Amino acid sequence: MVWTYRTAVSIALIALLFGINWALDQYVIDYIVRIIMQCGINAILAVGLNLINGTTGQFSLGHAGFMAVGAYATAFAVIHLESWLGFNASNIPAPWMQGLLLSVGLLFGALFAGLAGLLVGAPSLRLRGDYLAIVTLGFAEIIRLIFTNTEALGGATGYSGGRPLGLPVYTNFFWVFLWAIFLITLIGNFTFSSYGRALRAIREDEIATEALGINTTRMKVLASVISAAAVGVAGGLFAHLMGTIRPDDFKMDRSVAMIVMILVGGLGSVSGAIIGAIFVGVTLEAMRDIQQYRLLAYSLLLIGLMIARPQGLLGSRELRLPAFLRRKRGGAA
Amino acid sequence: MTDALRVTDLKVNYGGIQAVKGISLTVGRGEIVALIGANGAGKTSTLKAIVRLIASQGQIDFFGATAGGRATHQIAALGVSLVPEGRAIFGNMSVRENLEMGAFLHRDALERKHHMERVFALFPRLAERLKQDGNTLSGGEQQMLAIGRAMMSQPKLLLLDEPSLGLAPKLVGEIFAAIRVIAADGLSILLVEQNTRLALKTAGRAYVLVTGEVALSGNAEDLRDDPRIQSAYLGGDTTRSNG
Repeated sequence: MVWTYRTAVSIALIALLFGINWALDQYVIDYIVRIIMQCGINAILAVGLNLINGTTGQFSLGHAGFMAVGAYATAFAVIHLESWLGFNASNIPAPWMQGLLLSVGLLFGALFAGLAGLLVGAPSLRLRGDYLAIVTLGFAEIIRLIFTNTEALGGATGYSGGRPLGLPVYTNFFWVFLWAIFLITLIGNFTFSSYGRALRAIREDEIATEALGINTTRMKVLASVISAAAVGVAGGLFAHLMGTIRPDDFKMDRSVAMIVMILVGGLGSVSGAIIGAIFVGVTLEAMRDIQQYRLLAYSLLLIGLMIARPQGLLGSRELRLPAFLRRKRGGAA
Repeated sequence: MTDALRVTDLKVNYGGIQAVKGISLTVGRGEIVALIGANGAGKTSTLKAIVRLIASQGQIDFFGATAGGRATHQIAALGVSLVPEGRAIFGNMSVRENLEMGAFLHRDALERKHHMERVFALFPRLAERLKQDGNTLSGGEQQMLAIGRAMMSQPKLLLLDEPSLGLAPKLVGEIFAAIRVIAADGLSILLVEQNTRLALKTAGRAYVLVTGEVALSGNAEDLRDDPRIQSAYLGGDTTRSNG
């Protein structure tokens, strides 16, 4: 019963995405579609970061690093998969094959970003507050410097897989939102499970949580891995949207942008993170002409927000689906 | 039958300072034992060391199983539950969520419901506040929630750190009444308390800590009548109340 309901919803969703994708292709200019895709990628970034920064309360300032790992790993996998399968400039894969290649690449992106999340999280999540922020900030810089100095990955000029036209642009509306919905559902369900409750308990009082028999270190590392993997997928989608990735795409301002998203939406709220992601996606685009002032604008925005609504737009609450769309759940509603 | 808790020659160092200087104590099954002493005597350090929240030397056994090599969360799995000093409830989570967190190790829904009802029988106020966030409760209610949360983990040994701290006398009375009810159900309790009079009234036995060492120990009744205790902790005159 539940299974058939889920299947029906999934099929309807895929059909819907496919339809919208087609309509956007036909009737909407690329520029707008691009902004919509950016917002989708931002939503993955924000929901991913929110799991560790908002729900678990472990402040990471270095998620651009995980995004970079995901971007490079995805691009590397897609390029090598293509040459292994014999695709090249004169033998371009069919559209469905492009999406498949991209998705396989994204799995690699998630895997490597998740591993990075494990490597950074396992030793550093023992730290608290400011110390953790500094360690994660340092990690992101180290990642950026590694990519800058690895000639095989293009060094400072960026990675294009040795293609004169850059990375294949396989990211489209359909795949961005398919992955976004998949990951947001996954992280949403995790957040509202008993594991998610344990993560919130860690945010509230770590010692009390540990005393209740919960392995808080393991829970924090688990949250870090899931968070990093999701952000890695967003990085991979970003890479194949831009057609090129440079180490400088993943500087601190990218981490700050992610933090602004979840602060705007409300720390700890999944739906808030999505709203914040869309907000930042749109304002970033609006500020394209004054690029150099972006960090300044963010600061002003944050100061304004802290004065007017310190808990963010939604606080820690969630927007919920209207009742007729909600599926009955056993126990906690 | 093995003791619920047996601590042998426990030492705790903070940097160069020795806060606990080799104390030994036992809590028998179904017994309430009080650990009393002035501020800085090492009571809380002892409790934290027992559940391995801080590093220590010495031997600790729960129901005959050694605590050595176990992390704090593994000790909880042995049936040992700590109610930390200052209550440490989850402020931005509802009363229900706080209680459910207590039962994290016990997944059976029916059993969980049964234990929650037992907590409500003990502290009816919690049932009224089920949907409220923890930080909207009064101090006394927060203490009730902290004890209730610990009870949800179905402990065999309860470690209470200063349950009377900062509470109005009436609420202190309510909470200690509940502690006696819990003990009557067969739970073993180690009670750390600054309120010596109350602790000696509630416990069967007590240890008096002075600067990290056990200065006195014995039956609570005998200690209550001991002139050294009376002059040092009970203000000399046993008829005067010190709340």
